[in-house]
Amino acid sequence: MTILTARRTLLGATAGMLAAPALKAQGRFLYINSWGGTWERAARQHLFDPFTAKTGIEIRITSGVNFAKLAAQVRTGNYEYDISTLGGPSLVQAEQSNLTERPTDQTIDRGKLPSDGIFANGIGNHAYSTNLAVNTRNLPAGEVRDWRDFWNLQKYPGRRALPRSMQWTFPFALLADGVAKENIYPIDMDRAFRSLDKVKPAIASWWTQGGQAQQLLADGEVQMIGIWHANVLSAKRNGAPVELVWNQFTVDRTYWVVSRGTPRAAMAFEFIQFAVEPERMARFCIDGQYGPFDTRAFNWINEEQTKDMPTNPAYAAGAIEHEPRSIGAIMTAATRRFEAWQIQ
Amino acid sequence: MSAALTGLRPEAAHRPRTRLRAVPTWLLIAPALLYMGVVFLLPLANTAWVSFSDPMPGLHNYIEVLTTPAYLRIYRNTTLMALLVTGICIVMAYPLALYIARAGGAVGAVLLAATGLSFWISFLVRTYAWTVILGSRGPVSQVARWMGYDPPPVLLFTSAASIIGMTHILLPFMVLSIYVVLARIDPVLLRAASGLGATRGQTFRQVVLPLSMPGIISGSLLVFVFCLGFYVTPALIGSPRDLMVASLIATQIEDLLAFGTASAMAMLLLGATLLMLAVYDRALGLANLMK
Repeated sequence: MTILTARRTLLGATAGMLAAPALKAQGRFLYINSWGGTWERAARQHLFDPFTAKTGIEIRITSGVNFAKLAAQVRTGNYEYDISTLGGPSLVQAEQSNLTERPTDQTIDRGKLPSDGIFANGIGNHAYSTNLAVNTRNLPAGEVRDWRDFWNLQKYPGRRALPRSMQWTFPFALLADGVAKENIYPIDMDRAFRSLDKVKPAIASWWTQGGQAQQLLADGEVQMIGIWHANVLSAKRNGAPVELVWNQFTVDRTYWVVSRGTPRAAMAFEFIQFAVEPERMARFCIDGQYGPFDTRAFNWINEEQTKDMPTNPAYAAGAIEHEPRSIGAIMTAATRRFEAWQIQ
Repeated sequence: MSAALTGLRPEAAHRPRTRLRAVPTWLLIAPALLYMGVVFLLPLANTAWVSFSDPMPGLHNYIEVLTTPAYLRIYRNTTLMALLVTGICIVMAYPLALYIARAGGAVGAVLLAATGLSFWISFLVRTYAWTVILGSRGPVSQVARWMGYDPPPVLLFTSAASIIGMTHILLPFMVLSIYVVLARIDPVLLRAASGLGATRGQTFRQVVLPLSMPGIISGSLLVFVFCLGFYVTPALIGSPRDLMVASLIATQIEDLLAFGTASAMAMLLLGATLLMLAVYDRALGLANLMK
């Protein structure tokens, strides 16, 4: 760098520093916690960018959805993000721990939402599912149909993986043990663990991140897995030999929430109201292959586009709707018990 | 440092020292102390406070941790794993450090650089690389298949994978700690030993090994303490059964929001580490490390 350019850079930097406070006063920001990957791409294109174009409010991403961070933010009053999306059971846990801002008539126009649009301080956005998926390198597609097959270590001896969080794993353990899908709730934890005892020797990993699960399946480190549907679709797009089983899958709904006490709450609700308009939700869901929460969104979705959506009526017979309150109530006990159980 | 200084003319080495003497020592270390105080001691004090006060004041967090068999087992596993990795590191690092110290010159420099090079790669990346190397279609499995083991032995997601990964990440610390001490051993001592009729084995056992003990001890302490806090490697490539304390603490915070229990676990881990240091000090004398 010559002295001249160095001086120019220095001048530029100083000018930038002087201008920064003025810009900051004008610019309005919202911090949104992102799930990354497919979710972030779809949200940026169909929700964040159009919102910025309409309102001038810039959206900044913080990565890694982390429930503990939500709690820490409210405890310390130091906000890293204003908005997050949570699944039902976490939403219930967050409401009970008083971590989320309650939507009021001043902040949200209920008339524009479906009747069940607000639940436990969250505003419904989309549905995703947790499915059985198979790597077809060693097993022919269509061979493994349900959780009884997944639990059948004699017939299919390969390694497997399941979610570490029992909110997703318990229903599968009960189905494998012969519980009818109508009788999963309330969950019989003793029976679920007895069932898990049988599959435990074949479990290579209790995964915690969607990307981790995707890698396990795509690389063939496990032959079958309980996994979020979006990760299987993503692996398939990358050319991995994987099969998504649309039978005995659980459907979760996710909700937008605002961190309690954030100074940007009003803007946050403005964004949420914008994001859940049916047409916009439809475009977001088509791109990410999520199921729209608001059924009016289907007016903008054609049949071909619903192919991999968990809320596709064609899969309804195999779908199991989660009961967030029921599972949220036992999550703490289940996690503690799992901790002790897994190292035995 | 001392070698560099002795190379200088006496007055040149002397001048900066007189100027520095005008500044009181405490002022020189004040920035470091302040930094440590703000980023280390304050959060530590806060963690200690939370462990006794959340969700209510008292010792219940400690009682809970110390009376839950599963938690005690995880503490024991973590300690055993750390001891094992430390032992493997000593055995693997010593010959390498000795070779580098003896080779010296260009060969020594290249080997030393190669050892240090892995510090440049994020340890998440290094851990992830092991999932490929040890994976069911990775090079290790392919070699095993080629040698007639079909199906090849399962490596990924076993305790062995965890130990391999942790050893790989921590080995450079041990090599460098031992090397620094070995390189300082005066070659005259070795000549004197052989002049007095010692065999090569005797020279090693009675001269080199005792003189290099401070390196082994400081390397072991580093590796052992790092191991106690390991989180990512065992979680990503280890067996689901060898849960480490750090993972346990993460679960308490992330899934259970049990900040009190997590803080008590962290304080107990810190206590165990300090206890270990005290035992070391009694047995071998930490002051020796300063020599």
